[in-house]
Amino acid sequence: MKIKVHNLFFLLAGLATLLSLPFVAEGGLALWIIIKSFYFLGVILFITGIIKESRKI
Amino acid sequence: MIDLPTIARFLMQLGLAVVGATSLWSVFLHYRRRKTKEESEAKNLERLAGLLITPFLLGLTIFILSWIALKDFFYVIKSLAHEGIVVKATLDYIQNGLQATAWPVYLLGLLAVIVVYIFRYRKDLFNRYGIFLFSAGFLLVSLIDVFILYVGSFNKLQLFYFLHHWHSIFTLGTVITVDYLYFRTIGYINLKRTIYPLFPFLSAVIWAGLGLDFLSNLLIFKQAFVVNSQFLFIQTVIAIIILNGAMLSGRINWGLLATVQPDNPRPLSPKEERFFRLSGSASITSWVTVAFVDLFVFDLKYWQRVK
Repeated sequence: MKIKVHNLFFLLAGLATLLSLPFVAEGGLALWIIIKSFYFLGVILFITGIIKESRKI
Repeated sequence: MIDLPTIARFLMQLGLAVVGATSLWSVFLHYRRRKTKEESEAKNLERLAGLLITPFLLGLTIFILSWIALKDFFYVIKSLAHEGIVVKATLDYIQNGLQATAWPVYLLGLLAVIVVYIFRYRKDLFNRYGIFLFSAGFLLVSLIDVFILYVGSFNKLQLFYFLHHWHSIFTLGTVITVDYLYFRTIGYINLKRTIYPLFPFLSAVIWAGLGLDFLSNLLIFKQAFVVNSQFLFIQTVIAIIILNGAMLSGRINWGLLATVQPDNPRPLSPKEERFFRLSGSASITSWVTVAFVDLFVFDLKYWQRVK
């Protein structure tokens, strides 16, 4: 199975969202920002990947 | 508690998201059609743009009926963010919003009449001006989203309400559009060859839309961050959306593309087909669940919600 880097970040963001549920009250905004930064890295990499692919075509 | 006005509010948001998304993707398809040099590709894009008329009209009907019901019959008292972060909208905000959106709603209705007429009787005009008509549709839906809850001035809360509604076009509405196009093109290999390579663009917009929702929550985080069972449940669904989305925009996209390769198409195995269907169902169910549960306050423990 081919795994691209953006998907790794999405997997990290999804798993971190699930696994952090017991600590979300203590973690507050700081924890929220850490988890979401995985997500946003995934989005940025995914969109830049699509732009590169469409330029090739 | 589930009450009728909040169901109308949910339907209004759902309908508006579908109208916005189908307008946005119609603009995209018309634009691609203008740019393409291959005649068969242009024909396929024209057909795909035509297919989106049905969900556009269905979404508009649902939206307008719910909007009228809310404006003239019901009063709604709360709105929640899509991450389970609570911000109460006062009755004034909702009444202001319904009054302020009257003209854009009338114009959207008029636009729908024009679209239906030229689609039915003047295909040449539909192909020539479709891009402008659906751009106008998207702008009108965005304008409605700016004012759908109006606090009376343009502050952080107003910006939050706008983004909270607007992102549904890119998330819920686009997910419905993807599913609709997927099911409508089953059995049409030429249409599949045109639409499947475009799915990554739709995925990118869905990811960006969810990101927009996350960013909008920063605007109200301090005042609205409350960890309760509803918040935890919605976070769980958000995690499912992200994990499932990674599969959809990765392995599933590549699998679908392989089935329509002109040279050496690779059909899906029964196991893959089952897995793809399961993932597609999980996607639409999770998005509708998030949108639905956000609007209500349920007095349930976490495990009761998960069941």
